[in-house]
Amino acid sequence: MIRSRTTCRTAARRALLILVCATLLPAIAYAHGERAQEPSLRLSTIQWYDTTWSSQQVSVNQELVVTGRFHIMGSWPLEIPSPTTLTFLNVGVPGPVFTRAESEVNGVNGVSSMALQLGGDYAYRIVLRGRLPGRYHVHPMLDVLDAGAILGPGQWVTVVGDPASFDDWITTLTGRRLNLVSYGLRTVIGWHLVWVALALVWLGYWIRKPLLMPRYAAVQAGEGDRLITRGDRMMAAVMLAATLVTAIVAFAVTNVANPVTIPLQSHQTKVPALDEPPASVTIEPETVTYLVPGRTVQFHLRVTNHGAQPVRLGEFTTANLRFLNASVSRADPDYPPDLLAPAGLLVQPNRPIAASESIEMYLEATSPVWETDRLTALMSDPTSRIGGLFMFFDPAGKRSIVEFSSSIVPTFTGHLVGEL
Amino acid sequence: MAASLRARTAPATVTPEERNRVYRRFDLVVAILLFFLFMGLYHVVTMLTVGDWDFWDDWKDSRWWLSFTPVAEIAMPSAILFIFWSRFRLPFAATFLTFSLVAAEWLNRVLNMHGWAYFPLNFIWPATLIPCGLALDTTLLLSDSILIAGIVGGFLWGVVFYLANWPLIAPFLAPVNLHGALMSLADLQGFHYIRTGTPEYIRIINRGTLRTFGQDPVYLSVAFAGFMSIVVYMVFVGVGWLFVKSQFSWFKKI
Repeated sequence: MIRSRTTCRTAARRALLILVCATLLPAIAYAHGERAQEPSLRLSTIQWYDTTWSSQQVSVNQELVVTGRFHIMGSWPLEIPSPTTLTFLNVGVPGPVFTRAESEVNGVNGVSSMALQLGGDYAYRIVLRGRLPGRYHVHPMLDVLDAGAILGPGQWVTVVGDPASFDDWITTLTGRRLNLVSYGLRTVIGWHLVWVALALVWLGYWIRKPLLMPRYAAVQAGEGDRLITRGDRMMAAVMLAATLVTAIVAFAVTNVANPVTIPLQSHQTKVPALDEPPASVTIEPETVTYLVPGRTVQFHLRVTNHGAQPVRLGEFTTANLRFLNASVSRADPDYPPDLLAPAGLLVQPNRPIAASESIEMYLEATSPVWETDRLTALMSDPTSRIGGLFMFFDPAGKRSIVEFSSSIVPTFTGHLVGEL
Repeated sequence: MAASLRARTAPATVTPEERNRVYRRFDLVVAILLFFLFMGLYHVVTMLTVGDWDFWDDWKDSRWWLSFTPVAEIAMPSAILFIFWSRFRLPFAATFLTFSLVAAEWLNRVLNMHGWAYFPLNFIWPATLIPCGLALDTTLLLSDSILIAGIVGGFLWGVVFYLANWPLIAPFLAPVNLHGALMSLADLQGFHYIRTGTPEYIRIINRGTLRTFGQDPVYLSVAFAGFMSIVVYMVFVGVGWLFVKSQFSWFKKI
């Protein structure tokens, strides 16, 4: 009995020690928890592609340009609010370690919140400037009203240099040139100090007198009115006058110093999708399954080429992960390797689909990322669907992008082609 | 045994000077405790009610910030003011609270939002409510009436908030042109300094049709803030009255 109590006590002490250590030595979160987002948000809403980062290292004040495209799924899940109301092109970085110099979506200024079209493709460009040295995961990101942030692919970018050298020079419409890094701060602090000083005068006047017990006793004895003296009233009158005069004078002086001011501006607009020719390929899903032991999504599809040129399937992309058919597509060497499935995409038959031909295709998208990126958690989503983009290429390299959406069923028995 | 019992039952003070010294120490301890208590409580109330309007430059608009902030923020000072006045005849509760709030806000902005989240201080400065508190406290003392203090001081609370905070925000409302979009410097700060959780569309600024009644909604917002501050003051003076009625029996025992 005594021994078991001692064991319990030791265990409790160890648990407490671990808890304290965990509190005092927290692990640093480098990325943005993109893997924690619901699979349906990542698989079936916005598909990011052609993402590029101009560099993986910039200096303080140097520009980093993020460009690419995104496709708003036409089969947007009903349970998720859609971007047809309002979205905002944002950047997934750990706070203002970069500043955003400019951004645009299909040529429209990115300061605006935007209504986008389901099924549309959009080209974006974000210009950032290095501000604080460090190594950061940089994502393009769309904030969707009532749905939240939907992250694009992330790249590690290092900012080097002296943070004190960061500047942000702006010229106002009245011709004044100023550094936004520190502009106006002295005015703000100055006025705060004025009001703090007045408060201290008033509080100091009262705190120098006995406060609680004698006054409470006097009030209880019905002598509360005698506690307020003529001097107190004089002081109150002076303080009220000082408060009002200071406020009015400050207001008037400010109006003289800032003759041109405007209200805060809110920008909202509709952005039409890119005027792209319709895809020359159509895909009809027959069955789509997820083989749990093999960590593989298996597609049985009917693919029809309506174009005049033969095409080959080069890539399947979903949830920022790219499954490449190695005999057709290669990724940019600077593309983040953790977003490329090492086993690529197995395609059968792996041959061109002739013009006007309709064939049955079998695909295997095998990767541990289905598990490590927590995408298989879609099995616990209310709608178990998988979405993504298939990319076909004709002999001239012209790309045809086909949106894909299908229900998906988990299987626990089965085999892969390579195992046959 | 008998000696120790006598020592315990003997009065703690014998002379008025000693008694007053104990009272002053008690005052000091209570004042320090109240300062930190009010810092925490009033700051939490502010974050939960006013929140983003107080956090960011590009939320400090001419309608919601000016009308909502004073109306929401007069609640707690009204209740505490009633307690201080009715039980101690002390007319500095509103100033004490607003002073505590400013201290807590700057602590939060400097250590948290600037130190940990890297936002520049000129983007995240807090508004000041100290002049509002001074106006309310002094009108209470001069009028010697909770009702008149509410009507005059409550209205001044709403109006002075605008007058005192205009010098802080006005420099950030200078116009700039960012690739064809007219923006104020405050808007530009919001665009430059990236907030992943606060997209542009989430801002509640200048929404509504108050402009129908005039060129500038500021004056209507300020008048509305003044009148609503009176109403909220009255309600929360009632809360203070309930507190005094129900809770002050313990103070008599001290």
